[in-house]
Amino acid sequence: MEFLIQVIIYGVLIGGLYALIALGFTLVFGVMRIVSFMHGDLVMLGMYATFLAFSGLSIDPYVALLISMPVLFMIGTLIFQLTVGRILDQGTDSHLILTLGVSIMLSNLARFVFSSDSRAVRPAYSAGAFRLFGFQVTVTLALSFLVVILLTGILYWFLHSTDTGKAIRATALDAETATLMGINVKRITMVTFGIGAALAGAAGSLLSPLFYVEPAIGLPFTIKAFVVVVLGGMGSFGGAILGGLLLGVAESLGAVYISAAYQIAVGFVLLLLVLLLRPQGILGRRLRAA
Amino acid sequence: MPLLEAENLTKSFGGVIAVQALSFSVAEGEILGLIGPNGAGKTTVFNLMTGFERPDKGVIRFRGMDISQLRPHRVSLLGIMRTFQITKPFGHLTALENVMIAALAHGTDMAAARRAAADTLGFVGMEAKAFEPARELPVEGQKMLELARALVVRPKVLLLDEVMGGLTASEINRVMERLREVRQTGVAMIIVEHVMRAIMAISDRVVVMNFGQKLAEGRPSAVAADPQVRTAYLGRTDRA
Amino acid sequence: MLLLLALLLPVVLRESYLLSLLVLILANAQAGAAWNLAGGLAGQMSFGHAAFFGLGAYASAMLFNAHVPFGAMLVGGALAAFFAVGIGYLCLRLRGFYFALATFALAEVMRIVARNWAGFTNGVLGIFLDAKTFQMLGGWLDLGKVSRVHYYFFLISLTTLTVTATWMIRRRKLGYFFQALREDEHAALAVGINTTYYKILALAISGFFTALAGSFYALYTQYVSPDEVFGMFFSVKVIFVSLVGGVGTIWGPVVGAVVMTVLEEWLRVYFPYSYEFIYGLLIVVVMLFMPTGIMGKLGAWTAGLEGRTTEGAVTGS
Repeated sequence: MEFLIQVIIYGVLIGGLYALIALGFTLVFGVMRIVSFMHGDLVMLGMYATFLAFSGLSIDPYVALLISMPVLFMIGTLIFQLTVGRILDQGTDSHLILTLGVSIMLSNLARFVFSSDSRAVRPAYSAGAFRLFGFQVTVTLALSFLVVILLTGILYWFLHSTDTGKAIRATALDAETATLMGINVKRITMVTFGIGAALAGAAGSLLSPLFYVEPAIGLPFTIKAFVVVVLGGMGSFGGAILGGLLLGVAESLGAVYISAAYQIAVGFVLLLLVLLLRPQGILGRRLRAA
Repeated sequence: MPLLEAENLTKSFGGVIAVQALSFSVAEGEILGLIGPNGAGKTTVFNLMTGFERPDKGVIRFRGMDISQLRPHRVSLLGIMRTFQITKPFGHLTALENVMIAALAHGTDMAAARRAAADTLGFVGMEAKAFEPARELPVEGQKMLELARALVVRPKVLLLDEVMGGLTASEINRVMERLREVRQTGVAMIIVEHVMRAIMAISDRVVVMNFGQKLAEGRPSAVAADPQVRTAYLGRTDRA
Repeated sequence: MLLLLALLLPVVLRESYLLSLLVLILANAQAGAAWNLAGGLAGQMSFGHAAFFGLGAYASAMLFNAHVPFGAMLVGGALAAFFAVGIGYLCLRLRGFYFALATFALAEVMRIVARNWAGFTNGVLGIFLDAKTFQMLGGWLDLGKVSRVHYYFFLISLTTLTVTATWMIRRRKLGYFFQALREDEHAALAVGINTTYYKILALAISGFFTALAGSFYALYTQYVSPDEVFGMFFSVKVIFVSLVGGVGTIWGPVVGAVVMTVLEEWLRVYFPYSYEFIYGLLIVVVMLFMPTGIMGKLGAWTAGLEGRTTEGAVTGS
């Protein structure tokens, strides 16, 4: 029983990070129905930014957050201007393919610059662990989780209390009415995309002490984001959080009780079950028939 | 015997009641106007009658047969055809192909379908645009295309959802003429419209809906004079 | 006429590199045309066609090694069609992104299962086609013994079959029903089309032909491994081949295959390190500037080839 709880705790902690990745993704989707296949690669870029800051300037990865977020924001808006922003009115299939292309470009660019070698971000305390209510928790994982909570809180505040945030929510609810109210939907979409990228960058910083940093790590994270938002409900803030935690726990349990090899399959099977039984996700709105 | 009837229809979405205990019927060769303020539930009624939604309570009968649980294509194959308020053309196909598809779905072969489609397009005055991609047609064209697509299969019942929206006065007159001709052949029609003069002029009977319920029913002149109807549409008019 | 030319080519080319290139082009064209039937014509954009490809490949490989080479292809195809019906039912209510994701997930699950179920599929090691069975056939199919030309003819027939099937479907009732499905599902229902039936049918036919591609792949390379045949790369490639050529058109996948394969090979030689990057760049460029593909751009000229009654082009979304 104790072991089970240990496994679940690990799942929850890592799930928080998945939730952060998914939050950026679902924000972008909620606003203009953009499906971003490159989201995981933005996380990857965040990881590399953190790596550079850490190895070059000895900046602690959790502090490097303050660098990776703005940098990724700018990269995100740039990518939006060049690519995504031009096909906004086309269907999700077009978005998927286009962003897939960008994803391929990004991961290969990373390969050119950094080579395929895996890098590691290992701050001094990364080997440390402590006991929480009698269960073992690594320092880095705990710290990352705490920062996720912090960022989620800030994001929530931003969306509900600032003008830009409210404009984003308005656009997500009804873009046409938003335009009538004087909101520049195109600009808001770009800003949202940038914020999504920034959140990905943050996730990258928080993940860098936990995973190896390599160019190809983008796609698996993108897939995780997909699974999480389908589980929790596309466009739903709470859904991203719930879905992330759920995936984290499911994977963790799967790795221990089934096998490590089938671990990734767990996410997919969960995804397929949800798509079959409740496609709108746990907290998503119903997909109407007519 | 009524051709198509709705009995005690009720439908809600989430907590919102869209249609409540609604009953009405339409007979062969009869035109029934369905009017009401926006949000009254008219499109929901159409969706229920054509199988796009299932009623929570109540039943829909075609020639006495319960069709409430049938899927939309089955309803269509029975001869109950509808148009959509926001047109749904097969965008990348030509107008001719759009209409052909309906005929093909109802069992004709390619040659017969092409002939029937051409004839029907002529009937609604679209023969000149037969080879244009449907998505490039202007609004009137798309509305007429919807009508042609419904007519080509020689339906028994025609459900028209705001088919005259956005048309000019002369176009409306022309459509009304066509619909009268169609009525002559015994087709029953339920027409949802906001163009008042059209629907009052062409309908044999009118049903007025408000908040999902039937507010009034009767001949157009009677309904127009009904004080409850006036209130629903115009708000209270007897205040100083 | 084109066919005649194609049939004469191997006489000239014999064992040359060009012949292998042609085989590659044809294989890509056939697989692309198969996907295009469901994805382009019927609007069921599956991101997991590797599932069918892999099924065909593994079925053929296993049957082959069990010394039952004849009909192995058809069994693979039938299996895939059956599977497609299942997938079709499961994914019935899913649209757009959800459908793409579900199909992608299914292919990935199959890949993971194939990788790990060592008892059945030999896991990551893959399956080598048994030389003995080749000998059984009098060395007829053994690439080691016989020239590539035999394969070439085989593939030509396969590709022709697939493209002809697409052509036939498109010109007739079925093609129109598929297109109605793609254009507007509710309108299709309203005019009397049983969308459920046709969605599943599109997937089944497409899956069948894709499995045939997988079977050919197994026979030609004489080796199947999970990451190759169930991998995402195949799924993306067939989409992209159709996209470049013109989604929803008959000749689009063929044109797209020619362009993509030649480009790919050229890049592999001159830019071996960055060819994947350029692939990605190409995807972006095509999506931004020519979403209707090459056939789309050529528009009016190709209307005749496609048997269309109009000059209208067909895009991917």
